[in-house]
Order: sequence, then C-alpha cells, then structure tokens
Amino acid sequence: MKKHFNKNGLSEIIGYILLISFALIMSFIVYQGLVTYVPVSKADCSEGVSILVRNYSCVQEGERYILNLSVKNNGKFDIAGYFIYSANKSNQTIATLPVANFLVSGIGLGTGIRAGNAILFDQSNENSVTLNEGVFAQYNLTGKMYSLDITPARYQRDGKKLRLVVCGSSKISEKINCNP
Amino acid sequence: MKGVNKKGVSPVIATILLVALVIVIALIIFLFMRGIGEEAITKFGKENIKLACENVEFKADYLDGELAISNMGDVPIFDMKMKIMKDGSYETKSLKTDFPEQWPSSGLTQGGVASIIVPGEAGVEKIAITPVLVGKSKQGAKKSYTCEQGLYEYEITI
Repeated sequence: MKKHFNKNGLSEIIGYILLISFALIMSFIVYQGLVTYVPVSKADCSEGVSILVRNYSCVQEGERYILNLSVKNNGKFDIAGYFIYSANKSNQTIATLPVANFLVSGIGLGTGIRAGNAILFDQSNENSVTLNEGVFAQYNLTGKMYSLDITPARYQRDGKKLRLVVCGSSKISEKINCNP
Repeated sequence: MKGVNKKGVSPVIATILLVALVIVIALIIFLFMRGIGEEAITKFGKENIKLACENVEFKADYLDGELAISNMGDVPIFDMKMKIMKDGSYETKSLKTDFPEQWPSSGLTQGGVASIIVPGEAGVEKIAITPVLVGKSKQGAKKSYTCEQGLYEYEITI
C-alpha cells in the first residue's frame, strides 16, 4: 500500500520570513563593511582667507635679532592668527625655524599669544583679527633670517566643536632682510 | 526484482538541508573574507583612514642634506616612511623611529614643520616620502596606517 506523505513543504509565510531575514543579515554585513567609506564632513579653511606683511623691521642687538612684524588681514574672513617659520638660508624653499617660540610679550610689544607654533591674537577661541585689521608682534631670535613663511589660521565650527584650522592654500612666503 | 523506494527525501528535509547548507557556506565565506580583509582603522569618528589620506597636504624639499617637511593641511601626520635611493638601491626609514630628535613626538600637527638631516648625503639620487597616519581600530586601540605608496608617495629628485 502506498504510504501517505505531506507534500506541502514549508509554508509560504516561513519562506518569506527566511528570505527577509537573510536579506536583513546580508545588508547588515555589507553596511558594516562599507559604512567607514562614507566621507565625514570636516571643518576646513574657507577660501578667500588672505594675509600680507604690512611692514617689518629687523634690528640686531649683539648676537640677537629683534623682528618687529606687522601683518594685515586682507582677505574676506576674520582670522585667529598665523603659523610663522623663518628660513636661515637664502635658497631655502621651506622655512623650518619656528619663530613663534621667540615671541616677546609685554606692554607695547603686540597682542600676540603663542599657541604651539601658532601666534593667536585673542585668549578666547575667536577669529579676532577682523577684515583689514593689522596686528603687531615682536620676536627675539638668534641667527639670520632670509625669509618668512606665514600661514593664516582661523577657528571653524566642526559639528559642535570649534577647531583651529590652518589655511595652507593662503600661505605667504616673504623675503626679509634680517641678515646683516 | 527487488522493490526500491523511489521517493527520496521529503521536501521538508530537503529545504532544511538547503538552508543549513547556505548558512554553512555563508559562514565559511564570511570567516574567509574577514581573515584576508584588513581591519578597518577609522579617523575623525567613523571615517576610514584611507579617506583621511586623501586630505593630507604637505610640502617637502631637500637642500644641503636637510629634508624639510611642512604640513599644510588639517590632518596630523603621525610619521613618514622615507625611501633614500642611491646607487640603484634604496633603504627605508621611519622618521619617527629613526629620527626621534628631529621628528616631533606627537607627529607633524597642522601647520607644523620638521627638518631632518638625511644621513649619507653623498650619492643620494632621490628621496620618496609617504605619510603615516594614526587612527583607531574597532576595539578602540590606536593603530598606524601607511597611506598607499602608489597614490600618496612624494618624490624629490636631487
């Protein structure tokens, strides 16, 4: 006698549940692998930031050089300060001596504040150097200087955080006569 | 003739076998891919460190045995791999490990400049440098990552 079998297999609902579960698991695995490749928006310096050296003077005092430097914000945005390096060789294309280390502070010596290799012009995290404003700082260095590399920096909002960003594309290189 | 049961396995058993087989194969492929794939290192939150390499901006020059590197962007450069090429061969050095006194201990931060005295100046034909960044692994540990040489290596001909 022929034995009676249930030929229905899995029900349609179970089939759909299995299918959807697999799709969800696979998409989760793919998401985990690819999520890190989505670029995160970061604060970067606005285009149009610009500075220029308004005037400078270099005075030799014994073996030291006093550099008085006045910089003007001639761009379209307020800035917080600048990174400054000097070159001690005439043919040097990248200045490597961190001038910020030699900042002189005091009454009548400018409002610059050293922050690492940067010079900022306000204690608070603000872009205090407004449009067309000039700022002055004095430095007391040993050794000759042939040129200055000055890169403006400004605070930019990065989500909820305020970050000091460097404006590399607005860097200026100024030949100076500080090598008597 | 001897009677043979021609019915085979039931559809339920066949489906269970099929599903079990798919799960096992998927597991094998997943473990294999995970084994050969690199561990994702992220920087700036969730961004893969490979994308951060695209945002690295630096300028380098070599003069009188001295290599000057300036970080022009906002991505801190943790280390640099330096290839010194001379006499048809080259040697690789890490600026952080091999020049600890000249390379900043925390790396070349934004706006930072480093000056490295390159040893054995005579006969140096080319110097190639590749940035190394530091990010976080999935477990939260700090990990360094050398940007792809073919894409981000900077060569200076002397």
